[in-house]
Amino acid sequence: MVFSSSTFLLVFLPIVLFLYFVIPPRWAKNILLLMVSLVFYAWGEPVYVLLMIVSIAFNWLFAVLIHRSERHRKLYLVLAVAANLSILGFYKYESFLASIVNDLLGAPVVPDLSLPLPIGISFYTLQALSYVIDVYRKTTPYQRNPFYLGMYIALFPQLIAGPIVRYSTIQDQIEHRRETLEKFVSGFRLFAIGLAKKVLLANVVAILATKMLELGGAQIGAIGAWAGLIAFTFQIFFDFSGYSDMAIGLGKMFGFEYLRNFNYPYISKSVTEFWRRWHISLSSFFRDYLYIPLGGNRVSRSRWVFNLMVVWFLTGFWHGAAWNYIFWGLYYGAILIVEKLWLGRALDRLPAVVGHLYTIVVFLFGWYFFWIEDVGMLAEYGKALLGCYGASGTLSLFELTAWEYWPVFVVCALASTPLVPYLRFALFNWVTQEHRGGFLANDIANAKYLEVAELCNPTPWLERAESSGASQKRLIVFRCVYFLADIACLALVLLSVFSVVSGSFNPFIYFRF
Amino acid sequence: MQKINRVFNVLVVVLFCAIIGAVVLTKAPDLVMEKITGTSHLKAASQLEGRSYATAPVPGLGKVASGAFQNQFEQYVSDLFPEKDLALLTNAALQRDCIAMANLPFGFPAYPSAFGSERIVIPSANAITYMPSKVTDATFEKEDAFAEAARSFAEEHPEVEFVFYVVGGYESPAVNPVYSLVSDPLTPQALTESLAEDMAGVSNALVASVAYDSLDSYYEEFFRTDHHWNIKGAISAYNEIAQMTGEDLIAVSDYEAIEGPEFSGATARWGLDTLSEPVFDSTLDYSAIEVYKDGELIGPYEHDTYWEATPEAQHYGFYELYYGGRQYDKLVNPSREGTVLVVANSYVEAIAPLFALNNGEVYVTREMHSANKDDSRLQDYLEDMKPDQVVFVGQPGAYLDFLVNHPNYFEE
Repeated sequence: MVFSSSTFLLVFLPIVLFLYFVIPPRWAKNILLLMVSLVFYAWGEPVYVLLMIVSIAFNWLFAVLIHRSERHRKLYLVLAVAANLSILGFYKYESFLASIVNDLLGAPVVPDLSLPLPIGISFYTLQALSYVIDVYRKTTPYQRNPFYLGMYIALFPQLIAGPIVRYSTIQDQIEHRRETLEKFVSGFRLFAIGLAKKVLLANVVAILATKMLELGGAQIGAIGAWAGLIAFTFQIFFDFSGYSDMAIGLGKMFGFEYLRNFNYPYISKSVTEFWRRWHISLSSFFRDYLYIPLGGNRVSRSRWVFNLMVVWFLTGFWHGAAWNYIFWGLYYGAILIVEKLWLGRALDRLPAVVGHLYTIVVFLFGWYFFWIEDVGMLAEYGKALLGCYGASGTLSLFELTAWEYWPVFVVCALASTPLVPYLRFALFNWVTQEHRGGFLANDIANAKYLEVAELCNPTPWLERAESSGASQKRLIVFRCVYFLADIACLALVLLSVFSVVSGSFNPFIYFRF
Repeated sequence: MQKINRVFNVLVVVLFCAIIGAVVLTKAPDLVMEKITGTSHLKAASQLEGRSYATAPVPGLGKVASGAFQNQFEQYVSDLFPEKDLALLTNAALQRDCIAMANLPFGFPAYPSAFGSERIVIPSANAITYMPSKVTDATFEKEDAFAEAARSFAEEHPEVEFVFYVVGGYESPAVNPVYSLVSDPLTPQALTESLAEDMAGVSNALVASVAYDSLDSYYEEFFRTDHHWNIKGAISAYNEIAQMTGEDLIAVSDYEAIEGPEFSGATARWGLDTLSEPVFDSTLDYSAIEVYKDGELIGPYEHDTYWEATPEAQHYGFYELYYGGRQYDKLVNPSREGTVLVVANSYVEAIAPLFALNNGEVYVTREMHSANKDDSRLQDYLEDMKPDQVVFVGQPGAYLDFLVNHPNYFEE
């Protein structure tokens, strides 16, 4: 089941919310969440839900064994990691690896099973891995109750497309979280924004991106190719970050506090910064469970280069079992090495606009490699980008339909920036009659500010304003603006529901992850 | 401040729950009522979408495992959304407004009715029509195949007169303002000329079409919200055919407005546009015409299906209900002689009664409709009906796909 479906929005969610809030005991709420999460998963994967239950069972068991055994704990860790990676490898990479081996040997030695990929397997496998590794490292206690561990791994908000929630993040919350009206409304706001990003922006630009890719470079020329690539650039951001926002928002409604997964990546001034803002839970997973154990940057330069390329090779490979994803990962690995060695310092000395433009060009070409799996199509589309097929290929400008989307691109571009937090910051300054600077440094750009407690919640701001002696009138204005924003969020939910029930184009691009 | 905070938050939660709970809150009481009264009070069909709403799917192991049940349930839930038509129209209207804004610097004379839509809005004419069809390699191969088969058949049956009427309609360059903006558009003129060339020399085969030279003249005879002709267009087409075959022309001096809701035709519905237009009919006297279906007389030529329909059905289905509501297959005019077989699609509904004004028997088959696919043979019709004249009526696409849908049609 996906969030942007009628079944989820109009049946599953209201029923689950109702049941959750009428059941009083914590343990019952947790069991309910496990059960409905399994239903949520089984709706899309009626067979593979068994695979997930098996994954939950053996990860729980290995963690218990790791906790209880001092002598064999490393062995149990290795077995747990091997089991998790074997399942992921078998279902996600068997076909790809079989084709490579068979091509090399020139004969069909390894059977190509072409198994359908279990949805969300890449996400819940990493969550499970983080759990057993943390238990092994003794940075987090093991979970005695298999149902609670099951709830953590299968929890429907983050199950299909992340964020990758570490057990340590919600370990206390499993039994001691608090659901409040304020938190629920904050969650609603995030959910509304995420749903609108996915349905009203990503799905709309996806129409253009898909059309341009289907037509191919020769028909669409430079205008179509660039419009298609820009559309995909917005599609993947609003699809993925929208889904993350919805997941975090739903988590908040149920009392959980996840870490944010996106932090306005398209405003980055370097690729290093981009990856601190994009899919943060994945970057930090690879950093903490792979890069640092490999030695991180506290090694020789050649070893450091090796470490980085391994991390980025695996980052690419995690995204999909195809060469373009591997190339995409290595592309970013190479750029990050160049940036860390000398380009980063050069960029620091140049005007910020240069850094922005450089980063935009890098991620646009990054998405080009990421988007097009077929090598032949990649070459043709690349030629179109370079103008080899003229301005609009064999089609007329009108037929391209790219011109229809410029207002959507403008909205997407604005929504990619922290415009709304900036307006809130300006309003807060007006309320408190103070003129704080450093908006970006304090609120948005700092990667340490990943907690979502303040996200979409006016209360901490109001408290700060009250304590700074702001007038009651201005405080009420502040709160009323928030209420108007809430009405806007409700309108976004309504329009999104309208779009979903209309059966509008609604691709889900994370099935392969 | 805390109190205000709480009030605002409660209000937001209530409204949010009202939106996401809309289906559950309407379906649950209806289920109870259904148990008591035996009937559901929820809307069972959409005139806008032109279909019945999905019913609750029955789960089964195979259906769940394949995902079929989930897909059917998704459609079922979407259809349960209260005021779903409004949701569809609002969604499309927002997209259309966005496209209209995007069009400002370009100034194209028409633009799609929504993102990805094949229907285009013509603001200057207050009309909605289709993107022009494109000529492909297969286009004239199909036309040649049709012409060759039809020509051979006509040559084998010199006692029958064959007329091929190509409905110009929205595909004519002069009446589709984006024609010049599209690469390789198909024109009915090109098809008509090609058909005429292929039929040249066959004395009992005629090719006809009415060309329109401006948007105004076109929308005088065709609906602004539907691809069909209105009664004026049907009369023009009939007179064009009659002139070629030497029949009496139909002269109409007056038209009268039809009371009831305005018409929002198929093009507007499929384009999810709320455009509508007044409707009218000629003052021709059809009282002598008898209507037959499956060999049985079902009454005089009337429009009772339309008058008995709900205002919403009248609003969306004027053409279909007013002209074609009775789905007849034969019209009889006892005061006239001659037999005609009209092979057409929905364009036949308005033109067939005109043939009946001048002929004793008018048989109607609807093989030109793209949804009709069968092994019917014209030879069988000739033997059964013994027509003096066979008239094909359809837009270019209907001719091109004819043999794909009816591969044995011209076989002896």
